[in-house]
Amino acid sequence: MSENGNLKDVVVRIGGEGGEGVMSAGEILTYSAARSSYRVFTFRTFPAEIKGGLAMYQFRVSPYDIFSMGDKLHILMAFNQEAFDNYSSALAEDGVLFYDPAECKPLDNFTRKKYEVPLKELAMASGTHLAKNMVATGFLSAVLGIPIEESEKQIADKFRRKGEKLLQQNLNAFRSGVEYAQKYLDELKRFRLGKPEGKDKRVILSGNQAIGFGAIAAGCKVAVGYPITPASPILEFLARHLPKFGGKVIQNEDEISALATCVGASYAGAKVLTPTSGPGLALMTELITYASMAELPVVIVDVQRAGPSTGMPSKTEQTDLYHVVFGGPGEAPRIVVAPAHVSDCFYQTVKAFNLAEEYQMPVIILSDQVLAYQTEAIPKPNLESIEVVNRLEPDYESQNSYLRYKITETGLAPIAVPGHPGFEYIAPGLEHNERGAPNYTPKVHTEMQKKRFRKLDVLAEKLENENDDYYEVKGAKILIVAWGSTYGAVREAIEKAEMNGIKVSHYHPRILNPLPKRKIRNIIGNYEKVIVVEQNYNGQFANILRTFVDYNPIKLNNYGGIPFTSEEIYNKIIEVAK
Amino acid sequence: MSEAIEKIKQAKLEYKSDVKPTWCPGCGDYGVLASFIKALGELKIPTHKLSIVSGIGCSSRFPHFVKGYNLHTVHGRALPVALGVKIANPELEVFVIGGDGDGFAIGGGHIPHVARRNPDMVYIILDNAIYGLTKGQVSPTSTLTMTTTTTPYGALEPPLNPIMLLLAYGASFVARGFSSNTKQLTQLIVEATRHRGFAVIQVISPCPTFNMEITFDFVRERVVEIPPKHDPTNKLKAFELAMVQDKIYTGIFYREERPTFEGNLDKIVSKFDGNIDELSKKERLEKLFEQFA
Repeated sequence: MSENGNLKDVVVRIGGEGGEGVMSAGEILTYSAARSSYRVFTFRTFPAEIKGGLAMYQFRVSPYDIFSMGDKLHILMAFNQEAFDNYSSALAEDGVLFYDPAECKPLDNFTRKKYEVPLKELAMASGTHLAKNMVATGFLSAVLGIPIEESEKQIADKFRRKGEKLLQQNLNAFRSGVEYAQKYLDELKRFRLGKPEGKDKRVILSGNQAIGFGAIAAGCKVAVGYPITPASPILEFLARHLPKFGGKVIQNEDEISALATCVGASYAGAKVLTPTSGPGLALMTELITYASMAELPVVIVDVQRAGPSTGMPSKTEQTDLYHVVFGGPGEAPRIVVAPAHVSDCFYQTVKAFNLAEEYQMPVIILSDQVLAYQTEAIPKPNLESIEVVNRLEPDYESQNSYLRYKITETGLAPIAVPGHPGFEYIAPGLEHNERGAPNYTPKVHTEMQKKRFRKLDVLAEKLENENDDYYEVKGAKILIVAWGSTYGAVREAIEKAEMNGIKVSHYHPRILNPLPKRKIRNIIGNYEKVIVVEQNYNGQFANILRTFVDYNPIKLNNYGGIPFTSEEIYNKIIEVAK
Repeated sequence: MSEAIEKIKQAKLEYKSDVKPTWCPGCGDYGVLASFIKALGELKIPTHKLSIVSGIGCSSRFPHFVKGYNLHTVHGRALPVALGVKIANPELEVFVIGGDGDGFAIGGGHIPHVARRNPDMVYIILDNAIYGLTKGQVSPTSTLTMTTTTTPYGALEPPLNPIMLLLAYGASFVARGFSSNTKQLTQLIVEATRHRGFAVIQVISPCPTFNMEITFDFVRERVVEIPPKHDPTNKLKAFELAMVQDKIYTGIFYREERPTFEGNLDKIVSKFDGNIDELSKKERLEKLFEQFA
């Protein structure tokens, strides 16, 4: 809570029958808030997981920066009994229930504050019972202080196509909700949001969409995939939008062929991407090592889901790290990038393309189910601020004979793009000499392995001097190391600890392979306790640290399929601080 | 005559790489390589516009022996790799070359999907009905009861019929050749390359080392050219010819004109006027962000 007793941020859940417009109510509220520069996080569950067609939309909104979905609900808007029965226990101690008395009777043992909102009755008065959700939207807009005119604009956009009559009915319903809220406003003033900080232009994106945008911005020209939860929305997004930017998108017959087509297109000069999840990644593994051997740039997005095998496709986990770092026949260098939040999904995707082009190898983006579907109002990415890297091509005027796999100090040699006379070369999966011709001699294999891995050394050396992933707090004795989507929960746990007098630093590397080993040793050396937070059973990153920097951290693991709450991480900090 | 020999010499000079074939003496694949190089000479495809893609197997070594922007990829995946090459640069003349195991066993799942898409490329399958590189195991085109290292008591599976499969999958040009008839094979490769769409040639290319059943003599005794009266636009007739078992028909079974996959993809891009300059792309991306604001 902030100084005047108002909440700094509010977590709202709207629940009702599928088809009652729960989603569109939530969307209008979150888009209106985001357009008015509020920070917004949303969360929705897959309908398939909820019995009886119960639909749910949850959002967290704040005038200040927020990093996660939040832990407990402050407001539950129940359209029907089922929503109350399923969700009322998620309310915080001081949370409140809004309910439609025509459809829902709170149980006697329900102890939180509750307020009647006659959704159905007010909707009927506006001309249609279908506008219940607009009554709720108006009511919540007023309670939260989200600008009414923004919401009205959203409603107008939504219903204009459906005719003037329907638009008026919905607007009337919305206004009656606003009007009805007036009688409670004094009592509910702690939910009223303050004026938002800053005036950045915001866009509302999911992690999957942000990756799609990043691919377009980076100049992706070919995207090929095979449907898999939770990565399909990336392919869908690109199928719709990439052609507008000269790109081609294909749904292939399986994940093997998806990466195969990407590899071919990359050889022909295109920037390529294939989105998948763990089971698809497993099928791609042989070709990942081919791309590494033939030194072709490809970007693979692994939206991790809970495994093993088919596991829990709509649940989250960070369990493919070993696979992406080490998996495959032989030892094949690759780069692994892990975005931390929605905005980061955009920038890290651009970076992934740049790294693939620069280092001529597969780059795997490790996202996960939570990051994929979480939507966030992020500052509109600044296209002027991003750098786009293209592969180094040879000087086509040169008369020297072209050696595609020339052994160099950095391991890098220019890639010829097909169509240039005199620069024909073969991209081999066999061990090869500098021209690409098969060669199995111990000397060549040794030199070529060194050459290929040298590229990772060059990148690691660069990372030694980059510090934007280290959030140092002076005087802290505890360090949290985490990666990927746990970022938000870690940030909020650290804030909470700080309010309670415990200082904690945070290292959240975005590139997980290669690692800047000296830098990590230096960082770790500054702390008495190091906790590695990750969503897997083994503590995969903790074990990688143990292997590569010879340090054995404290592990905090969660592998139930749902994301960490900041509470869990905070509790571990308290335990370790003792 | 000497002019023809001169032409072949020229083609060899232009297209042969300095990597020497690793095939056994007497391998049918030499005949296919010779025919291929002759066809390239006739088609006058410059090496920088040529892309040969292969998977794994004896015949999949092919792209090492011919100059071009080539890829020697992993087992069974040459077709989808080649599809990527073609869609990213439709100007390239793309050839996929591989064997019966690479194409019909491990890579069998890709043929129907590439066939129905109809990219403008040529797929040459060098069929020796055996796994040669791994030294003599049964293949999907080995004969029923054939004894191999992995079927010491005889193969239990009847061979599949590649021509029937290709016709059923929708390949828009289907032909068969024989490695020893380089004159006919050269012409088939020329025709297949000129065909706009997915053209497949099954080439019977015997393995003198590991296949003691489907030998050169065995093939020579059975091989017959498709009668000139056959109408290659008649799919049903093509199926009839493909079903004949006691003869091995060579020539063009079937051909049809259909839009190509890369052409259809380009149409989507053109619809949005997608090939715009970088500055316009930035503006377009800003507009797309607006849709999410």
